[in-house]
Amino acid sequence: MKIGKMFRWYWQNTYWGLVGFYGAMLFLMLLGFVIMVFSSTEEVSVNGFAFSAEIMLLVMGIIFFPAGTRFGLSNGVSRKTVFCGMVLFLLALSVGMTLVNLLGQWAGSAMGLNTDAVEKMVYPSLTGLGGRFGVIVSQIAGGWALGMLGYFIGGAYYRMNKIWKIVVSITVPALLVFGLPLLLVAAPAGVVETLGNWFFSAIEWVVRSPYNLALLWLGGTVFFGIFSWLLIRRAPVKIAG
Amino acid sequence: MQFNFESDTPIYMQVAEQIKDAILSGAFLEETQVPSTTEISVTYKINPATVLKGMTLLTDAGILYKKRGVGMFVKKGAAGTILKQRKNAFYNSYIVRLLEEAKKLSISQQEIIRMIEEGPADEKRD
Amino acid sequence: MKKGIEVKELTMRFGNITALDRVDLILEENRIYGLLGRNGAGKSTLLNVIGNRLYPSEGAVVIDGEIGMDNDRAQGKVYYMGEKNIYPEGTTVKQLFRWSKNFYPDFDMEYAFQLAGQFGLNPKKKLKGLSTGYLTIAKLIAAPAANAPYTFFDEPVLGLDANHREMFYRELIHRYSEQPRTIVISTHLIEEIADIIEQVVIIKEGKILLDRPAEQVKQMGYQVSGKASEVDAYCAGKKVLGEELLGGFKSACLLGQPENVPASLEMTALDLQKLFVQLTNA
Repeated sequence: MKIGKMFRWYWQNTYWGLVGFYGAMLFLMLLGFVIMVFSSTEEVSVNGFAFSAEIMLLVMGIIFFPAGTRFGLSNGVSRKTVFCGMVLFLLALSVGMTLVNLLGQWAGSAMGLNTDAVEKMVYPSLTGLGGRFGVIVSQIAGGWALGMLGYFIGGAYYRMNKIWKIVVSITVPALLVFGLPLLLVAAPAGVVETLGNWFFSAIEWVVRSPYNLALLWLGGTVFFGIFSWLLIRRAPVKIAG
Repeated sequence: MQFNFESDTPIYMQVAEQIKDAILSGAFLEETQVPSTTEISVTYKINPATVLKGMTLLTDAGILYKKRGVGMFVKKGAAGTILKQRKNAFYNSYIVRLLEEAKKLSISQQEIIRMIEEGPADEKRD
Repeated sequence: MKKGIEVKELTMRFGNITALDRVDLILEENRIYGLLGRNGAGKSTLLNVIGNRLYPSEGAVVIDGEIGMDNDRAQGKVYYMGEKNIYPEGTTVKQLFRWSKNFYPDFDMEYAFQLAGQFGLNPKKKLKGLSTGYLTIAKLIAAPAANAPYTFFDEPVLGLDANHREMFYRELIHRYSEQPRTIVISTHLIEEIADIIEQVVIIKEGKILLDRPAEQVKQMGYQVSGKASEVDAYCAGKKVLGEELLGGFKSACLLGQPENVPASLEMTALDLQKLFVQLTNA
């Protein structure tokens, strides 16, 4: 099946990225270990496995929209298959990286480093494998969502012409950085209060259980997945630039 | 073999004529195999279907025949057939026209015969 | 199942430019087509749409009886060799062959390496390190080796020296003779392919201008030349494609069969390239 072949191509082009990623992680852990041994610091934290993995997935998503579309379409693969292959691959990558991260965290704590400070902060009541399972699920979902977000961003930039690219690249960050705060200041107090309450109850809900976080992430995956599909369904093969 | 891509004779007919020339000159002997369509089309950079059409023309005219699994061969007596055909063509294209032209110029039959006996200009004995 | 590719009312628009305008075309199985047209006429666009690299604005592509657009199975039968390089940085020639084999299972690896040897291409080299000519050669080898029933060559000999061009044509004919398939060659070098193609398709401004067997096209027109006044007299009432005047000497290209050309005028055949130029100049 062609979807399997696309999957293989995605994997072949990710392989070296992963080698680099885990090489860097290993280096950081060793660095942390060395610091711990040679200084009188009580506890050294090496965190951010999940976060860095998510960033990597985001980047893979961004790169793979143009690269995968060009390659797939030029080798007789339909846009449906290119897309479905990517969705499955991002999931698989997220699962794989989460599991490897788990190994890394275990190895790190075996060395005496503190490797799960972030999780303990958000979900302090979780102990043991059962409790941890929820965190794992939410991390997998997070990676998948970020990958899908990256795919969407890559797709948006691929489909936009030069003018739109410039407009979007300037206005979107500007809106987030300046527009949003301005809106909050200018909006009537009642609105801000309702929004604030709504925001805090959402946070409360997420913190209640990692499965809720996973659900939130899944929502993101579906949302960006739909828009990515809309971007790819009539996409042409374009040369770079 | 030479092909004139400029001429308005279809290529497949040129292929047929060229093979006939080769048979007449003895380059392709009777009961021997002629080059395959692939060989001819590759050597002269012509579409194989065109070459095949030319060879089919010759098969239909009884000049070539096909040995299944081997290739195309020159039929026995082909040289004779071609010679006869060419002689007929010679008569029609040259002799008939010569007579017509001579009539226009009021050249008598004796004059024509004398001209023929004299032969080509560079062989004239003075 | 009806074999062949059928293009029905195909329209491709880019913004307010109509690159293809309700194109109807049939590509039969096992024939060599020449797709000719001026720069920007729509040749590449047409091949790109059939090959699923572009999605048509309107119309359909039907391959062996099924819809060809965004169809995995149908597209597995189409191999498009074009100018754009779609492989990631660092891909070697060998990897290009391997990936082609992956997606075109009938790819003949042995044949590909044999051709590489013939053309003097080192399979271990990276694509980006190759000259224009050798990059074209790499793609040129992958195309026939893929053994796809519908193989499209878009400007196949770009950057190739004369020796390699000859090698390519001979190899193309050889392979086609032994393993026929549908081949479409889109090129500006009309003279070179004039006798290799069986059917001539000319595209002009997004529309099909002509779609006929090559033999017929050769007989479509002729040229007369001589004293200007005599040429004019002969051409009166006939379909003249173009004229050239040099002092008192005139040369005219006409459509149709020559009739009673006076002995004082010289008549010559109109080859494919000349005919093409005349038809697409207007």
